[in-house]
Amino acid sequence: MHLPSNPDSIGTDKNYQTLFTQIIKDTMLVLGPEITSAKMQKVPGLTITADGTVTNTPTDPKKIVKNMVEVFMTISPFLTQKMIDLVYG
Amino acid sequence: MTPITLSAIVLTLLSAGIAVVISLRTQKMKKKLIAEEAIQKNSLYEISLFKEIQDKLGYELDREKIISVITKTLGNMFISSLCASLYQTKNGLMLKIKIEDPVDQSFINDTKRLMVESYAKLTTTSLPLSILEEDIQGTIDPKKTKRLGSYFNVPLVVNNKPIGIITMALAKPLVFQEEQMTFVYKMVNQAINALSRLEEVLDTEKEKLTSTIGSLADGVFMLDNNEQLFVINDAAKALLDITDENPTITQLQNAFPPSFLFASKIHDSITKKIGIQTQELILGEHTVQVFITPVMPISQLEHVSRHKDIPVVGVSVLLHDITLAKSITTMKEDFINMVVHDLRAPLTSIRGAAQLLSQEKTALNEDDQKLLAIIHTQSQQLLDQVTTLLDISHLQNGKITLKKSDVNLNTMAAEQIQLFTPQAITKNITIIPHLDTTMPHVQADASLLGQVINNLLSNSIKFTPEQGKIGVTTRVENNTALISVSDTGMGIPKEKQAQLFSRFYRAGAGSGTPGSGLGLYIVKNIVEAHGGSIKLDSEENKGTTITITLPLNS
Repeated sequence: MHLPSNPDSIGTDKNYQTLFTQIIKDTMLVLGPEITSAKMQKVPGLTITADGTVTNTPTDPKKIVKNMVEVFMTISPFLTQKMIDLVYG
Repeated sequence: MTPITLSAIVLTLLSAGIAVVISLRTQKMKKKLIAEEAIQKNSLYEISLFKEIQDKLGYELDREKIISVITKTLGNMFISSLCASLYQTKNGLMLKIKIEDPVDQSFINDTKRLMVESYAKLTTTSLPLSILEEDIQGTIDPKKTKRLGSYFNVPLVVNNKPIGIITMALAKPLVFQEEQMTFVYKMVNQAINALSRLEEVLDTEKEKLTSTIGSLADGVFMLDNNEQLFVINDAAKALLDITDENPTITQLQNAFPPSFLFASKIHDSITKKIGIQTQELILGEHTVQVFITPVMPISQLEHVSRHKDIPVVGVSVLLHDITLAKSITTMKEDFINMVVHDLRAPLTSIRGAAQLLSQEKTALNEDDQKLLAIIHTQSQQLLDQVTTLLDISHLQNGKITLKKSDVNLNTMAAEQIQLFTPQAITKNITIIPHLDTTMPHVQADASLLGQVINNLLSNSIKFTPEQGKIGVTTRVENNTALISVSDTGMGIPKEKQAQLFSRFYRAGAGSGTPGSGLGLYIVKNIVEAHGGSIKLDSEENKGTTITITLPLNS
């Protein structure tokens, strides 16, 4: 797992609502909607519609990313790395 | 109400309260134990399922087989309408669907579409993706119009590269439990990680092999058992005049002359499990020896006696460049021929002149005659050695050809004994013949065989001291003709016996007896050219017996 050397570098200038929506929709496409939704239930801080759209503005994106990594790590480390790359890239 | 009654009521209430608390705690503990039991059961179930997959896979490296085993196991675990896999093969994408519960074509199409989109996203490939081959098993029933209700995809990633996905799909919605699905991902990841580790080991070993082969001076390349090129070193590419970094098997085949029948030899080596050698093959400006060897698993080589059951995993081809060695041999041959021809004539003249002079006994005094005898003997010896050098050269280059005829071994032996009798008399050595009168004629080169017996007798006389004995025996044994020359000479030390028949080695070197050491080497080669064999028995200070065996029906 290749985490950036400074995880605090997750800045505040990104539109995280759009970013997380993209991540969730991509994950739904790869894994399927049911498993993605079930796992996202364990990631507090996001309100998600059935199609994966995030409807709220995340207040603590760093914590959300950390939780998402923990939750999806057991499902697919490869996909989790792609999520991290998307957030920190 | 009396104090006693009051106390009793309080005590009763207290007891009831304690009982309730205990009951609640017991229930809580019970629930906890039930939950732990469920967790342990799940863990045992996980372990047994994973073990089942591991037992089926073992050290399997074939990705298609691994995906097939995993897909089948998942199909057995879940109730589903279908279980499918989409994965990359050497030639393209392969889709396999196993229908568990009959569905219609639109269900299949929807599943296919979802799988392709998932795989494209996973591999960041643009759509559309073309599927090379489809394998759909089970019943497609147009009457079973079901919508895709519930599904999940399991990505297959080996060494950080996605190779495919497995999909479970069902017509009913929201059927798969999160814990079940999580367990599936965990199990599949573990199986695929095992494959990743095996492939990593394989890649490392392949790199080591490539590096080792690359460092060899000889040209080497290896083909797998499908006759496809596995590895080739630069030396082989240079000899075959191949410039491509990764040549194809066709380029390799075309680099050999058509008369060499490269494909046929490779095929024979693999299918018949035989090594094939070619002593000389011309490749452009080079002359090479070619060694084709089937490659079999080392672990099974101990069962060599059952080698027909051991599978061949490939074939190795070694190209040994003998261009330089050949040109040196040619130069050597030319030199020897030149030397022999240039030396023979003057030596013959010297010997002839010495012989003539020695016949003029009245003109020369005793001392002069002795000197002449030395000139005659030494020039004859030099002439013999020059002739021997030429024989050796011919032998080594395979130029000795036998001129066979009917040979009477007894007559030949008797003639040679007669030749050496004067020398034997000089040393007071007795030569005793034991010639089998029933000895039949043999097919042999009379001149060369005569040289053999001559050489053996010559050695015996040289290395037997005065008053010694030499026996010459011929006999028939087990359809072979035996000739042996035995003596009571100085014998040969045991540690020197193994080298006796090798070129230039003389067991009696330093003993003062003259000789080039080439004689027994030539004797061995001549005997073996006749299909025979030579045997030595010798003991120091007791004597030596050399026995030659010749086949009677050669």
